Amino acid sequence: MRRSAAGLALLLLTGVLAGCAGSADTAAAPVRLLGPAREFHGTWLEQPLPEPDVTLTDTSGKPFDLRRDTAGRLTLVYFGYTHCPDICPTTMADLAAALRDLTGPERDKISVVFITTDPDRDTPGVVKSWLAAFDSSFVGLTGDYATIRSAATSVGIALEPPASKKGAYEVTHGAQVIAFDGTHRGRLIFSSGTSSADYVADLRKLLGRVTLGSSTPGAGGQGAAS
Amino acid sequence: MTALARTRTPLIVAGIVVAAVVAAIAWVSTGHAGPMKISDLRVTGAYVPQPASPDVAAAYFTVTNSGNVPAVLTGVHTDVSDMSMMHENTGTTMTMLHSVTVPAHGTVAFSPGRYHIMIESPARALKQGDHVTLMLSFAKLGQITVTAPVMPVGYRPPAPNP
Repeated sequence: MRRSAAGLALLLLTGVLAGCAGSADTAAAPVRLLGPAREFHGTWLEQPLPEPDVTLTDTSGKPFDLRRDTAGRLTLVYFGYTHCPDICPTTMADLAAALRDLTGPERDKISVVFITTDPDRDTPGVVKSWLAAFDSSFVGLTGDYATIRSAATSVGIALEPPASKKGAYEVTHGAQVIAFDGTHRGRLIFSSGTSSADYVADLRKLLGRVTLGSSTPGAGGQGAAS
Repeated sequence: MTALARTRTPLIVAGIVVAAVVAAIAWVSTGHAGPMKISDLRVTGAYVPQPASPDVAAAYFTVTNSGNVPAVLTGVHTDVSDMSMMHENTGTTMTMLHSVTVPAHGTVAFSPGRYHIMIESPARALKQGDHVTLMLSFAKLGQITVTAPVMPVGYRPPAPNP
């Protein structure tokens, strides 16, 4: 309990520091910058992060164009791997629990995309059965490691190639979930320790705040997520 | 002959008992065990979330040390795998730990996102309702064995304190 309190304090401190850095950059009203920091549990990006323009393979073995196939939806992207014992399943489970707490119409505007950082072991079939333990509507993507790595790098997630280190198989995962709006702009970063209640609160606010699409979100147009 | 044998046996037994007691007193009074006692340690709240992968699972628990001396957890073994290790999450990867120190009058929680036991290649599919035996080894103190129930995917224990 003390530890988690310390962790929370650290998180808050990080948030404050991030806020300070932001205010220094823009040299404008820090009050406005503190607003969003309080509004969301996650970190609001004043400078949106472009969604990776990448085509990978989904769990049915078909090509999945991340931008085209999630257009018009609030898309939560996480980089992880199925042999990850702790962070990855915890993050997926927390997201799944959050989505269960949303209403049907809210839920229908959101896609969750899991991109493996361990494509050698995470075949489409392995990813599919792993995701089914959480929510079978989650999109799971595999592909060429170099492609995945550059997609991760483009959103600030540094991956080391999976390697055996002293007999242990080491794979990196992202430490965050990135929320992209319907026009491929990353607007909010959730740290991997975010609780499902905090996801629910932030997702509701995001749905009211970000652009999902020019037309009715999720309906028709450019193929909704499979 | 037989009468003598009958009277001798209780004497031998009594002798052994006395020797054992004397040895025990000597062992304790020489400070061999020091102020550390395995009974100062409590392992509570152990559980294993039902794993989503057939190849890896995690175990969590809390160790509380009510003694005056730090206790060093040197490893955790399970009855479902030959391979289990203590991990700490560090940023985007995991670090294997050879020991975890539970401070005197302190607590160490193995909980999602921080410390966990990684159980590799469980011998059976762990489903909710199953149980895993965890054997925690503490340097100089010995072992504590606890039973960890397999909980639903993504299970979080209720927060003991807000």
